[in-house]
Amino acid sequence: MNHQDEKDKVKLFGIRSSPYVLKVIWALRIKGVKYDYIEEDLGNKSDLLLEYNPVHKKVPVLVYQGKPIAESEVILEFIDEAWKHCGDPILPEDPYERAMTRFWARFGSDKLSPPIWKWFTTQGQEQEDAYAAAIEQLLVLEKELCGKRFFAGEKIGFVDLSLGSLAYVIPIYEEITGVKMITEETFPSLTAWMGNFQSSPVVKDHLPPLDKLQLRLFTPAEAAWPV
Amino acid sequence: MSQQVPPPPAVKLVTAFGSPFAHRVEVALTLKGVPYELVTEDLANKSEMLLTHNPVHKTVPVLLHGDRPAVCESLVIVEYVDEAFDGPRLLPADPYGRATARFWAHFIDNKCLKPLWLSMWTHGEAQERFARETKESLAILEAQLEGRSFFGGDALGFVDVAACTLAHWLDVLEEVTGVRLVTDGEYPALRRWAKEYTSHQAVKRFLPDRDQLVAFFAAGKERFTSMVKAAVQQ
Repeated sequence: MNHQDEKDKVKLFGIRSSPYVLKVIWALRIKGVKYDYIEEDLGNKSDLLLEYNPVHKKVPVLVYQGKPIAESEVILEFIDEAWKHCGDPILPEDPYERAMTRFWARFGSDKLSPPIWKWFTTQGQEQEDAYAAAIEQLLVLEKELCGKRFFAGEKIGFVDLSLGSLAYVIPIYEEITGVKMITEETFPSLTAWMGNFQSSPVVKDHLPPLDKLQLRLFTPAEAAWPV
Repeated sequence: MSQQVPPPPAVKLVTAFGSPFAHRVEVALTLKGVPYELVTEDLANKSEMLLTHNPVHKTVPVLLHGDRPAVCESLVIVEYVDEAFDGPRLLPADPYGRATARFWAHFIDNKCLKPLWLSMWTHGEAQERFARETKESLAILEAQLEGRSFFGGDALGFVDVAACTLAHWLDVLEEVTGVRLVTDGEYPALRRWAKEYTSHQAVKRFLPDRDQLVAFFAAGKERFTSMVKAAVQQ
C-alpha cells in the first residue's frame, strides 16, 4: 500500500442512526471526501473509539492523518478547513457571515432542540408548555430562513447541516404524538426547507433507515436521541 | 491649528458587571489590539437597545461592528474578532489545531461551566451530582494543561479565554455559596494557570474587582437559586 494513501486516509466512527454522525457524512459528501466508515456498537464500544475519544467516548469521531477530531460541529468546521479547495464551501468566507452561521447553528442546539425533545418526551401541561416554547423558537427560525432555499442560500451549508435532522425527525414525532408542529400555513419557509433538504443530492439516500428509526423511538430503554 | 476629533471606535461591546462571558470578548479585543467602546447594561433592568440587538438570548455580551447587526454569544464573538481583525491569532492557523481549540472551548462551556454554575445554586443529591461532574471535568482540564503555561501553549489563546471563569470567578462563587469544588492541593496545574491568566497584561485590567464580585453574587443568591431551580426542572 502506498504510504501516502495510508497517511491521508479518512475514517469515520459512527452509528448509522445518529443525527450527529449523519451531519458529518453529509459534510464529507459536500466536499467529495472518500472515507472508511466504522459502525460502532454503543453497548460495546471499540478500543479504537475509546482511544480516539477518551473525553466523551462518543460518536462521531473523524480520524485524518492518524489524528482524531470529536464533536460534530467541530468536525464540520474541520472538514471545511482541511478540504477548503474541494467541493463546495460549508461555511461562508466573510467573518461576519461566519459569525451569523455559527450563531444560528448554536440556536438549533441551545434554544430549539430542548423544547422539541421535551414536547416529545413529556405529557400534560409540561408537554403543552414545551410545545408552545418550540413553536416560539421555530417562528424565529422561520423569520431567519425567510423564503431562502437553504439557510446558507442556494446550497446546503453549516446551519442546514446542523438543523438537518429536524427535517426527518419532526414528522416522526408528529406521527407518534398525533400533533402537528410544522404546518405549511404557519411555517411556509421551514416546510419548503424540509423538503429541499431531504431531496438534495447531498442528503438523499443518506438518511437514517426510517423503519429502524421508528422502532428505536418505541424502545423505552433507548428512546430517541435528542434532535 | 484645529484639533481633529478622532472618530469613535468602530466597535462597541455591550457588557454587564461580573459577566465572565463579556470578559472573554474584552480580552480578545485587547489581544488583537482593537479599540472599542464599552456600554454597560444592568441585566436586572435590560435596555431596549439590548433587547433589540439580542432578541434571541437577551443578554451580554453583544458586539456591534460598524453598522452591521449585532454579533451575539461570547465564543462566536471571539472567533469573529479573531477572523475580522489583524493581530496575533487567538486560534491556531492549522485546521487540526483549530479543531482542538474549539473542542476544548466546547468542553469547557458544556461539561465544566454548566455543571459548575448548577452546583453552586442547588442542594442535596442534585448538587452532589453537578459537583461531581464539574470535578471530573476539572481533572480532565488539569491533565490537558500539564507542563504548559496556557492551554494554547506559550501564549494565551482561545481556550484560555474560554476558561476564564475558572481563573477568577470560581473561588468567588465558592466563597459566596460555601460550595468547595477545589480543595487544598487539588488541580495544581489549573491553579498555576489561573495565576498566569489573571496576571497577564491583556487580562488583569478586565477582571472585575474581587470584593465587588463577591458582593454581586451574594446579592444575587436568591435570584440565581430560583433561575437554576427553573432550569433544572426543565
